[in-house]
Amino acid sequence: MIRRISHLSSLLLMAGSLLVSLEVDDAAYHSAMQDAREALINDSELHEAMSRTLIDGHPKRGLIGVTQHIRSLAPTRHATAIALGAKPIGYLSLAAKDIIAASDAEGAGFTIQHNAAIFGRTFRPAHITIQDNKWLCIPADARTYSKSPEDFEGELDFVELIKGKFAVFFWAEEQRAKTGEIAQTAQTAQRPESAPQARKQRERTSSRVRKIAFKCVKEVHQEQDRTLLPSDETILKLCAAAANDLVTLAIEKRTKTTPPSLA
Amino acid sequence: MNLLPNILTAAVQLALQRGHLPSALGSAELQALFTAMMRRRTLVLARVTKAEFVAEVKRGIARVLQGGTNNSKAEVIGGLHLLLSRLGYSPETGFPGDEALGIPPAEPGSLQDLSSFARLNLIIDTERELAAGLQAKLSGESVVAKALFPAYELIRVLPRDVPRGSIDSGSPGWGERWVKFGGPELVNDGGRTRMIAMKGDDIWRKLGDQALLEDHGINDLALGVDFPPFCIRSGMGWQAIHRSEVKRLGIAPTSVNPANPVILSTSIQSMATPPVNLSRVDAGTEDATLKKLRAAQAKLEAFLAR
Repeated sequence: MIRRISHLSSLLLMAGSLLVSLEVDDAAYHSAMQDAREALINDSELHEAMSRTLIDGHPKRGLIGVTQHIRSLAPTRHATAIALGAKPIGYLSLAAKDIIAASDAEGAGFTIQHNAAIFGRTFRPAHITIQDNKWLCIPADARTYSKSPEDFEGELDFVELIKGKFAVFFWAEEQRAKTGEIAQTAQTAQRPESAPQARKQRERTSSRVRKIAFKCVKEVHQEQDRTLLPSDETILKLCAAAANDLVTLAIEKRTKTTPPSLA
Repeated sequence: MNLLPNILTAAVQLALQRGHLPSALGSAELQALFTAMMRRRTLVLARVTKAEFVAEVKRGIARVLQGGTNNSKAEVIGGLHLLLSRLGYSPETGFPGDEALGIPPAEPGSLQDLSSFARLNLIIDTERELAAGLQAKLSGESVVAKALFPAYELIRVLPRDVPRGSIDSGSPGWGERWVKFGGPELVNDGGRTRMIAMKGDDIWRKLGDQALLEDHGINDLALGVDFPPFCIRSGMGWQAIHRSEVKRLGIAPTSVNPANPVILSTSIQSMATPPVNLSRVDAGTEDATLKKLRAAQAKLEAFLAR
């Protein structure tokens, strides 16, 4: 088993995209790259080659890039949709769609533009919190999977069950229908309860039959999932393969063996 | 590493730089009237006669592309809903004055209903895909990108319930279009048929050409662009193909369209990097340079072989 110390750092941008920049702490890698850096004309082109190869892979070396890696995960990650009985929306396919190379003279990386938040837990556990009167809304129904409460304007009733900690959005029509039913039942029961007790009873009973559209919390913890992106080993080899390609092109150019299409 | 200027600006700039134009015409009529260049320069929405609304859509698209707080698609759509109410829009009567322009009523909730989630979602998704597609195309045209990944494969990147080419779609699939439009020979890769063409090949323009679709009797709505998604809600995209694959599969650099018809701004244009010379070399040190390059190659090969 190869043991190495390598580190990929991530930076979650304010704009909602995830920029993954490469910071490698690996002596063998740096030793292998050092001569290439000295031989090639500038670092910008080397970094661009690395970024593109990171994204698109290197088939000749059997190395799968970030795009294909995420795409290959897509059919296996539908647990929430399946649990809710919803149709998977292909959130990983969408994430894989528009990954762009990000490079300059200083370094190489790539940016995930869609559904980027999912990848925040590639490098460390993710602890997401929300402040003030806002809530993190988790779909609890097939109809609300991949949607936000804002998509159901006028259709939901918000009830804060544990103040400042837990709330739900009920389906408004279903809630009213069920509450009506329960009110009727309470009347026929002919219990001489006081008004507050009757209301409490109705709320207890109705909460058992109301259908929840979203669960709302103030914080969510997600374990680290390093498999969301290619392994460190693959990433380092993709970078080395990109450098090797540029060196090979330079040699071909000097020895005039470059095919016209690649010149 | 300051990568922000490279990665965030192009698509947002594209969305903001587009002009906007109200129009009483349907999608098919618009396609006939506007050239591909105008289509890309101008945001035109079918049967939308209020410039104020079109301008807000344009700003909304830029916000969605920019992302971040208060810029989610749901928030933008919510804002557009409010504006439609303020402008007096209803699916039955359209905007005030639409009737006089002969704009037919729309069924509430349908794609013709401007206030429907389906319509607003489609508008934003399509414009977002166009911006992302152009960004990908331009960045893929740098010299380094072309040298290492000289070709694209047309692949499905998003699933569709009724993909083009299926029985219910009423429209030929992408492989059939590829052949009809004279694309490079389909590649048989160990029994798998692949649609691969060099960057700049004319097939990329043809796949998004409405006139060509109509000439072939294909019922579809092309977006007038030479990059994915080519047609509305196609779910198709590009996979860059490495030079070693191009060589292995014997793909010829044929049918290249040398003209790049539209460049929207110098800032986007500047995404293409200057030509590479690849290696450091001083006059009279050719042998030394080659020696250095070969030493680097040997080291990299050793690392890759581990």
